Amino acid sequence: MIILQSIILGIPQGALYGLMGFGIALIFRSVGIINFGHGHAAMISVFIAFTVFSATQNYLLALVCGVCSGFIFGLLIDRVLMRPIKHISHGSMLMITLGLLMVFEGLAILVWGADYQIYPVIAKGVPYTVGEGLRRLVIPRNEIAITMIALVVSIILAFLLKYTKLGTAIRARGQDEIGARVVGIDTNRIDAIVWGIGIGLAVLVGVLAAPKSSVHPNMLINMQLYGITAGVLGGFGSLFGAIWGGLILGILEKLVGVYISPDYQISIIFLLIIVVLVIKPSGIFAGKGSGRV
Amino acid sequence: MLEVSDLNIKYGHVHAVKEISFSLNKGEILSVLGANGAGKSSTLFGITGIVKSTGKVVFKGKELSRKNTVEGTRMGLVLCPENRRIFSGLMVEENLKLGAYARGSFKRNADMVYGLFPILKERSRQIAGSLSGGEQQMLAVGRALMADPELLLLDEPSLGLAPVVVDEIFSVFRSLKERMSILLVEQNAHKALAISDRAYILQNGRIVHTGEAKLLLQDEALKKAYLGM
Repeated sequence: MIILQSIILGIPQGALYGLMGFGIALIFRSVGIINFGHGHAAMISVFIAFTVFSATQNYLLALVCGVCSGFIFGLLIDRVLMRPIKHISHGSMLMITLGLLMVFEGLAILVWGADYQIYPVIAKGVPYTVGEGLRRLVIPRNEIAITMIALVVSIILAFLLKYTKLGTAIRARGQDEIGARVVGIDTNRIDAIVWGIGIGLAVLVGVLAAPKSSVHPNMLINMQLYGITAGVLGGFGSLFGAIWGGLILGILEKLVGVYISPDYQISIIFLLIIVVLVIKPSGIFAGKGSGRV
Repeated sequence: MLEVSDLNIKYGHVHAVKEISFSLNKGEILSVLGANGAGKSSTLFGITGIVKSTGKVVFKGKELSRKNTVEGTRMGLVLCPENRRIFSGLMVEENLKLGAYARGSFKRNADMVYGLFPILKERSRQIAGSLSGGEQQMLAVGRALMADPELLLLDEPSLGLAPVVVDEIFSVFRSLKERMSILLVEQNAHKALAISDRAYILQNGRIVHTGEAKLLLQDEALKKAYLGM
């Protein structure tokens, strides 16, 4: 029963890691860099959601404002900072993402302060229970809501990427930039959209995780670390590898916490990464020789 | 149909293309020949706006801004780039669909491309990266044809292919002549001249010779000097 309980609690957590990783991997496939400022860029938008919620007490409005502002931040980061140096240096782009991390942290402290703010859960109420006594499973409503949202968002993303013209263009651009340009894809536009989707997703993750993490300037730094890990685990090359990687990560984290010790949660996960990188560097779910799909 | 004047391309300190001017008439196959590093591919990249260049490019009477490649592709100036540049992780059919991304239609052109290269139809559900080199080149040409090109720019289509495959692909080019103009960049001068009307020869980023393909093929001194034939 304990093992089942760990899995039940691991799935929503893993789904959040997965969505975070998906956004990071999406940007990586397009632009070729890992965005180290991912969590912090999204954190600003979570603060915006927090401010909207404080003013209106409307959860949905706050969520929508947060995600939209994240999307716009993504567009701006690409347009203002990344596009001018896109074909000049990947190293500089990476340094800019690190710089963004610090700038956003400072900005958040300046505007909202360094305090931990409380954020409400999306679904309140008594948890559902199955079974009796020691064989009882507890399923909190909020975890169900998070899992459902993650599932719906993943399905939407899958549909967008596989069956729409924009999605096909995003995949093509990740495969071959010159190839994409000669068929008439505006790669600058695609990159901007990809940044927008990536940061927007991270804001969704941030808002859903905020009741546990609280809202504060470093709230998403662990989430970003786990997101990158999820991407490595599932393979940056495969479209939904990061989401599967995130789920494995979430469940494993809980299992290690219960059966070994919470102290080892992070170390065992990084051990797993080393093992994956040694045995299958392209990630568990990467297809053979597919590059950046 | 295409007027290029004073095209200049610089990569840092390297002046790859120097003041190139040439024109291409409608319905013509024009070859640009020359050794490695003569500036042939750069010329095509400059025309299509893939790299920055200065000078004037007029296509169908309209000057191209060359800020991005999309404008040219939409107008029917379609590049089939060197090294194929296909989407190797996507299926053959997805590659062809993407060919019609900005112009043309997959429904209308798929049969035509599958007719020219029947092997692509057999492999349509296969991942493009799993094709052989020759098949990948056919896919690259097929993808360019999906966009209904009025002027097809072909960059080194024979590169790294077996002679039989080169023959097959070049016979397709010859058959395309009725439907579109072709600007062909090639190292395989003999093959290129055999299907061309006219040719320009580039050396160190400059045009050093121009003439009718038939005459160039007979000019032994010229062939020795520039084309290594």
